[in-house]
Amino acid sequence: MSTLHQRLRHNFWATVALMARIAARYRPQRTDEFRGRWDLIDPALSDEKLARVAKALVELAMTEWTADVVVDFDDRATQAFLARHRVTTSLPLRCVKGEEQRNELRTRLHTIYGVQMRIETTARVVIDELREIGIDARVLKGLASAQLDYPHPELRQTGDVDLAIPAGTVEAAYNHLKQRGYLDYAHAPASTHLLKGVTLRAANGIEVDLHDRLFQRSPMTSALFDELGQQVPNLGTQALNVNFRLVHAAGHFILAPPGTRRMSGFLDTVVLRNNPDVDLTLTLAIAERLGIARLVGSSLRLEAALSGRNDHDLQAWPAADWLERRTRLQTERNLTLDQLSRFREVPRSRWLTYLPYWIVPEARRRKLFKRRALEQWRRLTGTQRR
Amino acid sequence: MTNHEQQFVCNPQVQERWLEHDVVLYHPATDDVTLLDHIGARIWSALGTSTSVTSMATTLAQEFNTNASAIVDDIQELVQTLRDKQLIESLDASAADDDMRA
Repeated sequence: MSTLHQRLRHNFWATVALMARIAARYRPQRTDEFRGRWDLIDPALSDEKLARVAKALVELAMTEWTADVVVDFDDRATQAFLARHRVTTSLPLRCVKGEEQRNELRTRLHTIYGVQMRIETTARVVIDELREIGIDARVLKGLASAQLDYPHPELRQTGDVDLAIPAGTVEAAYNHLKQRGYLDYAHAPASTHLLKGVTLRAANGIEVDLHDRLFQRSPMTSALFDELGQQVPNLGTQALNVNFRLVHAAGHFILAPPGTRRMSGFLDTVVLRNNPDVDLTLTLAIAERLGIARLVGSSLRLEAALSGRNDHDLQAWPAADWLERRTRLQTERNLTLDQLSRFREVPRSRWLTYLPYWIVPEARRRKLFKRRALEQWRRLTGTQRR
Repeated sequence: MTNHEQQFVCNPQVQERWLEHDVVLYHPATDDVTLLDHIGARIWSALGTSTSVTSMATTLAQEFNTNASAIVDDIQELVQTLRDKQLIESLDASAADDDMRA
């Protein structure tokens, strides 16, 4: 009896200790806990040399690219990091050591600039083609930020054309562009009636993303178009206003898996936070309306910690809940929790239609699950891939 | 009027992006990207307003402290390449076509 009593008592205290550990892990976030967490941008930044490159980019962004920083562009790891995060163009030639390294960067920039101009042209064409059927598109992310937020548009690299279109117009836009010779990027959508957004490929190979909301979990409303936008000089249309742009940049930066373009979204967030027109109270109101205040709050706290910014004005922002912390902020994302959280991104009115996709994920995701499960199994059993 | 006296100007459709003294050109109609080094870029810059090969050779010869006759053929060759890629256009297209064929 006494043994059982001891065991129960032991288990009780063991449980209390476990709960305390869990509580400590998921306690409300403070900016302090993000300090030095460059691994949340990319696990590869645990390498000191790469971390110096990332810090140099942030210093440049904090000073509107006037800071005197010097970066080594001589090794493949640095070049791969900049390319992976699409921030090669954010590194000015003057910041690179030596003529040989400058020439290496120059060659890469020449290629990227060609692609950038091709993307801008494609954006103009798509905007005009959508206008033909009465759809007014707004420019999102890179194309808008390059023109409106960076001191020189060349500093912001863009990978595709991202456009917001009014809620309920995705199907019409998709059908019209298909008639105009655009191709499905990977595969045709299962049902055009359920479209929340669509990705197409222009004849010149440029990816075109059309969205009717900023985030999956955001309600499908005309909110994006009700707000006054900001004219993008070279594209003949508007972008979202500056507060919307900050919500979008911060949210997407933290949604992207670490190691995949987080640095680009991070730099967008840095330059937008420096914009005197940003009103954080309005930004919070927008984020709350879109249902992503916790997510954006985490992103802004991480940005404040890594850029050395005072975070007093972030007090009102809620911390991410435990699910988001596990699935969005961690460098090693848990795919099972990620799958759970995806359900939360679907508007309630569409939960039933989403259920089959939630239970049986798409092929690419199943493949990821399988690979991750195998990795976990190998880790547990101590077997290595040959 | 000889080949070297024809007036050329940048095609207004062509987009450009400068990187220090180099320029990357993109023609949306042909989807072609062209890189010009600092001398090519200087010629491209001169083509911002209508100009002839002779005029460019004279200006560049003064800038680079050389003889105009030594560089006129090189400039003519670049102008021909730019024209083939539709990056520049002749102010008198029909006359230019005849002269180019000559």
